[in-house]
Amino acid sequence: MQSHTEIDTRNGNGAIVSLDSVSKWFGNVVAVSDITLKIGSGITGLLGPNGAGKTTLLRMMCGLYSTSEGSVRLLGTDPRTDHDVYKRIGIMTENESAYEFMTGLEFVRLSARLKDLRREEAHLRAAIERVDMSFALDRKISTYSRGMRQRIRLAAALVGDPELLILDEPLNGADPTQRLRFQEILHQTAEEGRSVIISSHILEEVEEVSESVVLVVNGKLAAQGDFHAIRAALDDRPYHVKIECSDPKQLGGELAKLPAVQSVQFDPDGSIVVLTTNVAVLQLDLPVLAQHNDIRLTRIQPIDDSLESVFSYLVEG
Amino acid sequence: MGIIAETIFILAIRQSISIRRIAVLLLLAAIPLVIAIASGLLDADWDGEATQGFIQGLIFNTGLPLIALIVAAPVFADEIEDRTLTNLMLSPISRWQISIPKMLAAAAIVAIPLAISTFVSVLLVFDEEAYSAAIIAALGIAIGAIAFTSLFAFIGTITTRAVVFGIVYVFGFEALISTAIPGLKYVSISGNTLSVLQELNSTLIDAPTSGSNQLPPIEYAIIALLAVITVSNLATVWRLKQMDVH
Repeated sequence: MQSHTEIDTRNGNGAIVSLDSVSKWFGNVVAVSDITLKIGSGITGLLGPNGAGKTTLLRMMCGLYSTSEGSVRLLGTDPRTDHDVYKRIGIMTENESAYEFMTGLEFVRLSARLKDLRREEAHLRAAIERVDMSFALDRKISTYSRGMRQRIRLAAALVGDPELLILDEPLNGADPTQRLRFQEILHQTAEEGRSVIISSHILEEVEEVSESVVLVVNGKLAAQGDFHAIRAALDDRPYHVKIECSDPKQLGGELAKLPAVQSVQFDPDGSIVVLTTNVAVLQLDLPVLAQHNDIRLTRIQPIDDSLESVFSYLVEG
Repeated sequence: MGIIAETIFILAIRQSISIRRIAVLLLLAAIPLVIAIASGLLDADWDGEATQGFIQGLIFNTGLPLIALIVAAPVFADEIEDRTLTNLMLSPISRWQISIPKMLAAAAIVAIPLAISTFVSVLLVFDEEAYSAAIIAALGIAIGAIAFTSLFAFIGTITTRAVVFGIVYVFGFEALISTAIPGLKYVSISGNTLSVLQELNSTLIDAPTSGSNQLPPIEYAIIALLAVITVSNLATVWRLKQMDVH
């Protein structure tokens, strides 16, 4: 694993969640070890492999778990003692904690009442409509598929328009259409000025909705911040850049002469893959080189400036 | 009662009344009534010993704690097991506002069918002062139900085997040991409940003044029952505050 890379995610609005030297152990098993971080407004992805400690971390943020060491502040208060904070938060835990004997509408109504909200029936139905579950609102939850359960629980979390949503693996069991819809909801939520913390072990899910991430590996904070910035901070890792052009052979030969280029490979599809230690220099040199050799560039794509590559560098070392 | 407490109370009622559990509950609650009706049909003679065995042994030492166990032990244990407790723990209320409505819901489910059954049974069994004895007996069911459900609900927060522990307690201690060894009625919920009832109606409860079935003094019994209810509920609140909710 790489050394801890820390880039502050706050957007100048102060931290909505703040953890100070937080650890959690169950018997002899250390689930979370000495994590200090601040999460700002907007959408933040909490990432890590299965068993990394994401759920434990989220549960401590929510006040569902005590900390073995350290302290947690959620919207400025300790959620273990100041339960009023739950009026301002919508939480969707990882497990399918819905009452089987209830209908979807009853469950959303219950969630509203448990937040001390006397919501109009129309408001509850709107929350259900938002997750495309209106067709099943009068059906018992015991008849729901896993994806439907996730959606009705999301509706329950959304009811009351909370200023912060905390979602633990919300896309488990969701099909591709539902994933897209879910991403739309997250973007809408962020546009409305509310914040979201979403955990997942599926990188694409988080990459689609957020560039601000917290990476947890083996119970420790591996990195935090904008994942492009994290990638840039990993300067010992060269970038792969894929280039499509009118004359790959000639351009490849010219690129190989550049000091910033470590190697040049020719892909079977006719493109060039360049390994560079300095992508910024390459971005400046490449157009000049192409113009000088009368080569038309059609596509330039960094292929490991992705969350997945950052993740694999940090997790796999 | 606030909207959240009311919601938790109704939710606890709905969770407790599964068809299977209600069937068992009604079956057990009906036993005294069935015995009373059968004895009436057979023209059986209820002497003092038989009557006291019926009221004390069957209803208060066995039936009441057993029904309370079936209803109260799962009140938290089931929610911890199926992880729905998360929904309540993420509510903007104090932990006692979660525990008290749940305990009261369980006590109501225990008390209502058994109090009705006991009320009618006492009317059928007793000749003298039957009506006042029946009312006092039903009141005793309510008092005992609150004490037992408080205790069993707490046990449900500390172990997933609350029912096993409770069965050993009900049959081993309340029904057997506390009636066999002198002095143990002082630490028996049934024994203290019976002491209160004896003070209210000595025809209903006519316990000996010495020996293993001697009941605690009324002053002690009231304090002991209040202590059980208070300590159990405080312990449940403490447990809810301390626990990690999975």
